[in-house]
Amino acid sequence: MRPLLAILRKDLTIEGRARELAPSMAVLALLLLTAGSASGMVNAAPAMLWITLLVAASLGLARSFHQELDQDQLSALVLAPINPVLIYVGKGIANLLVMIAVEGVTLFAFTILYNVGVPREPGALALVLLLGTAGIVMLGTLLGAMVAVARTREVLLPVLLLPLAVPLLVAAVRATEKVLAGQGIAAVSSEVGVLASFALLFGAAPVVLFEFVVRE
Amino acid sequence: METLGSHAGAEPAILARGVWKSLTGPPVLRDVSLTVRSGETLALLGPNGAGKSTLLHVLAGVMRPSRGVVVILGRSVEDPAVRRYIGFAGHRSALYGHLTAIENLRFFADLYALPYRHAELSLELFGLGEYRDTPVRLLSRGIVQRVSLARAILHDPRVLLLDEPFTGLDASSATRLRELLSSLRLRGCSIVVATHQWNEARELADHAVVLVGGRVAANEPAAGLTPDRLAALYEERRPGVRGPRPGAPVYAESTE
Amino acid sequence: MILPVLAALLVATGVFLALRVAPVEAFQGEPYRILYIHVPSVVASYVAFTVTFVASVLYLWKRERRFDRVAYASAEIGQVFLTMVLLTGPIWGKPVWGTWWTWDARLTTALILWFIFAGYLMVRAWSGAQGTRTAAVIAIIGFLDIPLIHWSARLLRTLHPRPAVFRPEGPDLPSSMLLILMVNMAAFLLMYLALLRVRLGQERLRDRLLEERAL
Repeated sequence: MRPLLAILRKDLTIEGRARELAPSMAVLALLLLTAGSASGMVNAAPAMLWITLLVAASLGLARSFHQELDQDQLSALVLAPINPVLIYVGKGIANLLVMIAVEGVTLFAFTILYNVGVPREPGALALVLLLGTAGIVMLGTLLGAMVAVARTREVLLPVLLLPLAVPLLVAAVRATEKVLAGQGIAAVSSEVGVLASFALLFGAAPVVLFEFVVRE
Repeated sequence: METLGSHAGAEPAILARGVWKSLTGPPVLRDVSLTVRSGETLALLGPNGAGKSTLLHVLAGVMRPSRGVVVILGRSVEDPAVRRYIGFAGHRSALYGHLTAIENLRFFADLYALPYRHAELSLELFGLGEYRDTPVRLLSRGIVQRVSLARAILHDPRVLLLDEPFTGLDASSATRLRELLSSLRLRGCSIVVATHQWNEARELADHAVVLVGGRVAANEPAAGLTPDRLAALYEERRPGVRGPRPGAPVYAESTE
Repeated sequence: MILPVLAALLVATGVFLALRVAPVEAFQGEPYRILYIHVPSVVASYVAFTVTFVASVLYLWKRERRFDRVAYASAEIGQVFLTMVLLTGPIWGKPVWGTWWTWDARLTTALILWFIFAGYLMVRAWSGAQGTRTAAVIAIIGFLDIPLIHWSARLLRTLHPRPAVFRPEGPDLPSSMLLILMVNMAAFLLMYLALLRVRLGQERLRDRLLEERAL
């Protein structure tokens, strides 16, 4: 527990001081939403929202692992007597918090630019947002670590993330559509099923695979 | 093999046997074997690109060998239980630039389940008191090197692996480091120091291994080293390099 | 030597059967014949991807280079077959349903799979030493993601013909067509194996060359 909290605290402190991730992701998200709205995508509002979140996440998460490589910090982490998965979990939670902050701003702009009203069942929307965001962050953190450790081109993060995230995208968009149109939790049960399975898969996979990612 | 507790000189503290390591393409380490006993210091010499840094990473268990075994304190280096006893300071500092010196050390204290007092002590040992609350990215290279060393010995390791630790250190810091290494030796710590400098090696180490082109070119008592001997070794075992070949990696000391 | 020859013969036979011998389909007419390429390509690509998945798991577990070679070779060949699927699909679809593309579950999954394969190949091409492990992880999570992709794709419309061959009740094609389809299926699988053999041989040679150069 102590190592996990230490890693989480470290990541949040660094983000708090460097302030690299959250602002750039937020600005990018706002730009995408604006471009979409201006070019007439208002009818496809839910799609616009989730694509924006995915793209902003994929660009932000690519950077988040770099701080472990510029001075070979990762070696020291791998050497420490901790379960390597904790590195993933700590980083994941930190990324989630950053993502939630970015999402707050994004949602605010979204309701304004796309003329979105309050849904009849806000709880349902919150659930979809939560599951969707968790899924994006879990997969994105894993891929971010992989792309950084392999010293491969940063553009590969979105290239890898987007196809794998298709189930999340499809389910989240359809669920958001339905909820914004006034439907309730029951109507989006299969979509929530997909989102939950996705979160489960990409929550469980790193537990097994992360060690192989970080140890040479 | 429950030898973690023993300080007996009989069982080697560090043992590498038949270690090969490939990164991209051709092997960087070829059939490397060496032994270091408790309380012994080994100097690792060799020209740039010989594989010294890679070997240290493999000995630390941070990299897995493509072939061969590494045994630390009687257990395979893959065993998580040994990690607690290994200290490692590579070329790069492994420190977080945006955190202060003390924050960095406390972070690692958290990872090793040590009271924060250890972080303070480590800082003092290297005379870093005045840099305590400065973000590491603002510190000069020599100071960063000292903080990195403080990090490496924080948890009182039994096996210490150092990659060119004297780089960037001024005279008094270098003396301090030498004193530290002596006292660690007296307490039974086994040390491997990678270095360019033959005189440093002769002064610090009991034994020396010379690595050329990824192979062990010589494995002998450090006292016998001379610059001529080293130059001869570097010449005779060079793997016929005629400049970088297309597609082949240029051997870099750093281990990515 | 036998394998490529056999594969070539079988493919030639299969094509002949498909074009000349197979009966005309009542509803779709002549264009349906592309089924004899489309379906075997699908099967071959999924077999290839499964091989890549298994080889990747073994590679991460055992760290033996030969597993990595198999994973890579199979991925490349699978991608070729998958490209065939994505080309023959629309070619089949246009005359029969009037549209080039439909977002139906099977075609969508194939398209996404193509992107995942592409990502795998790009990671291998553009990374340093760790590229092989990273790619192996991609293959593994990609493979595990496929059922989810398929599930979510089914939330979209379905225009694809109801599965006529791969159904729980057993295939629904007249036996003459089924037979020819089986022949082509075998032909494509043999082709996959033959290509895999060649590609593996190349990779082994390349590894040996790199090792010997550095000695």
